Amino acid sequence: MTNLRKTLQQRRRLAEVGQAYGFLSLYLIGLFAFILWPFGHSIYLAFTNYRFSPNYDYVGFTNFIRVFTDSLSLKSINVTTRYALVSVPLRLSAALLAAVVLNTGIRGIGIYRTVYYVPSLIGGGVAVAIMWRRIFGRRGLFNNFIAIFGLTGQDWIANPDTVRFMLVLLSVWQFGSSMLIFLAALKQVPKGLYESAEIDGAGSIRKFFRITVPLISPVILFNLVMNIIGAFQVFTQAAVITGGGPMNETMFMVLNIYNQAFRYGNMGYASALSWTLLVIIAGFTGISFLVSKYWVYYETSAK
Amino acid sequence: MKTQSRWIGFIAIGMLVLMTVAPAFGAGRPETTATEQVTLRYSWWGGESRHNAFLDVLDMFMEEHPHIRVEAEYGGFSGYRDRLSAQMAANNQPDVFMSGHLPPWDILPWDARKDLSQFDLDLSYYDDTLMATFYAPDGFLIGVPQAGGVGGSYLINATLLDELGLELPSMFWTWDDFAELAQSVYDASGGTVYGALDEAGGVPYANAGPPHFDISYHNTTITNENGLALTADQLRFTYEWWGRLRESGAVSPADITAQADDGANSPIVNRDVAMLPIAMGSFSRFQDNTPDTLVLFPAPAGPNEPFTFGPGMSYQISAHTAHPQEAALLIAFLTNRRETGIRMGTEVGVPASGMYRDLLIEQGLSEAEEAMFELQNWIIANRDVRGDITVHARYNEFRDLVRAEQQAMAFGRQTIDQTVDAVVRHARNLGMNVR
Repeated sequence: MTNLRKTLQQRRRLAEVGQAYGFLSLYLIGLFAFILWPFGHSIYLAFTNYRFSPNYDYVGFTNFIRVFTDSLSLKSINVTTRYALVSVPLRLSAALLAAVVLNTGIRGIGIYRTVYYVPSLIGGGVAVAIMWRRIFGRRGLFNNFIAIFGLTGQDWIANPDTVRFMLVLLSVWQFGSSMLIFLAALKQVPKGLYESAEIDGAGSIRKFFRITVPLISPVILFNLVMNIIGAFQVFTQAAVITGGGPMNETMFMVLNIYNQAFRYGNMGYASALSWTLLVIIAGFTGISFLVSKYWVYYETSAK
Repeated sequence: MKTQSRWIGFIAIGMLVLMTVAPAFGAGRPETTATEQVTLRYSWWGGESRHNAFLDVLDMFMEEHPHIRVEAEYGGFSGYRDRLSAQMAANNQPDVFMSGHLPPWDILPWDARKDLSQFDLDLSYYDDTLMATFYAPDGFLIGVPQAGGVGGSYLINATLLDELGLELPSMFWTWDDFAELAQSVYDASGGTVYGALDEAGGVPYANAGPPHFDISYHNTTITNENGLALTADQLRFTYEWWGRLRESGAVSPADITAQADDGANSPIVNRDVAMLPIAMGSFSRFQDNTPDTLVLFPAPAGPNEPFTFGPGMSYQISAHTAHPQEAALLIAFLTNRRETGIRMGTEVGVPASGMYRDLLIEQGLSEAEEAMFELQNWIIANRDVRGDITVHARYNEFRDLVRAEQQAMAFGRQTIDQTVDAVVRHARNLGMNVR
């Protein structure tokens, strides 16, 4: 009797598991067909000269050698890294500064939060990119504004010396999501610590660097890593505002990958570029985690 | 009861999964007979006005052929060609599509399409000169042209010239006349307006070249199917010629050139320049964005017998369509029906079909349409219109690399010699033959 009950229970359990996987199957098919399979297949393609033709060959490390010898590829790695190294600290600083200001309990705080978050909501879409062109173009809003003071502007987006900074500025302007995460972290800092520091005579700056920053450092690390990943994957802004130009000064890696794959048909080479990008992002993320032990403070890690 | 509901659950899930994955195994379907319900996919690019016109025409077609449903795939030009190429590579292209076969539009192999000469299409309303450009050498008909807009047009801001006290050139103008007029614009405007867009400065949307200048002086565009068609000396001549104009203000400085677009923000619309090259079919788009009067001219002529590209855009059928007869029916409806001609107007440029042109003339042309009709007639009468121009298979990649080098030259970051060397190096790296 006990055995029969066990068997029935096992069958019921098996049926439940089967049903669960049945319902999950749509997701799993999607996961394998549209994520894992292309992911794995791209490794294979990276070692071929696949150009959308059924006739292609294994070419060994040729594509990877080209990644590190082709002038356009080297330029795209260079400009992407420089973009990330400038935009990420600036964006995080702007987000933290705004979060600190919004954490002071000023009147109408909800409105301010919304206003600062709106640029992130409208995001890196095409409309924002076009707006940026209108602001910093030759006849844009910015040049009209500085003309009031008798200054003559230039086309900030068409100039190879300034174009990348214009895209950095766009990235910094969209600090809303990082700001909200910082704001949530700031709310968690115990008030009592500030009160004790004030009794000891600490000023605002000392309180910020000695209390606030250490206590929210895990969140800073989180935002840092997320922003590094995002910065290396920048695409839409460059694709819409500059198309990678002028002089390929904004030919970011993902834009180059897109061009190689879908405009030029160099799918094997584009796969190699993609894997190189993955390794670069992993490298910067790894470095961030490695050095985090020197500046990130976890309350659970007693020192 | 529980067991029964469990089985129903399994069957429901199984059906759902089957419905989801079934379309992935649809390739290799047999061709249909006329009575079967058929779905065709038709793709084009354009603006909202063109989309609405095509959608209306498709409605009319489906009403007349209730057994054919046409799924419309449309959007802007940006990315259209890339998407079509990727669809072709994945064997998932639309049955009928709007595309080209001449530079800079297309580098797809001819056999990516069906040979349209095998279908019973009435082409009697099409000019022989234009139709000749749509035949591959072995008589393979690539497509049926929708617009007759031949290449090699220049746009001039007549209002601006009038304000500066300058006159329009002759239709038989040469590149020397062009340089003289461009310099006059700059001088007469006190340096506030540049004569023309710098075609050798890396215009973001343009063909590598400048193509018509190269044709005029070197009798070829920058590449052919074998590789780099221009010699280093010819490239140097072109860059020096345009460099002199850049230095004197006759053509636009590097920043205007690098940010030029071919729409509402065009330098001719913004009055930064008085002249620029355009595709004839896009004339209305420029004119609609400015109160100034813009006029169409043929590209200037050089020492060689000037010739120009034939019209590129046409209706084509995928080589892999499962419904070739229905696709041909759709093309016949698009190219040879009064109601289609009336509804489409000049949405795709000057119609290639003589019947459509007559219909529009009967109805009365707008000023912009009249200008396009006149220029097309002039070019066909006075220029050698060719459709046999070929580009190298790696042309798109090469064009973008050349563009960046030309921009570096225009910004003064590298010399003409360095630019020529870079262009030749890029050609070699892409496996092109170099003369």
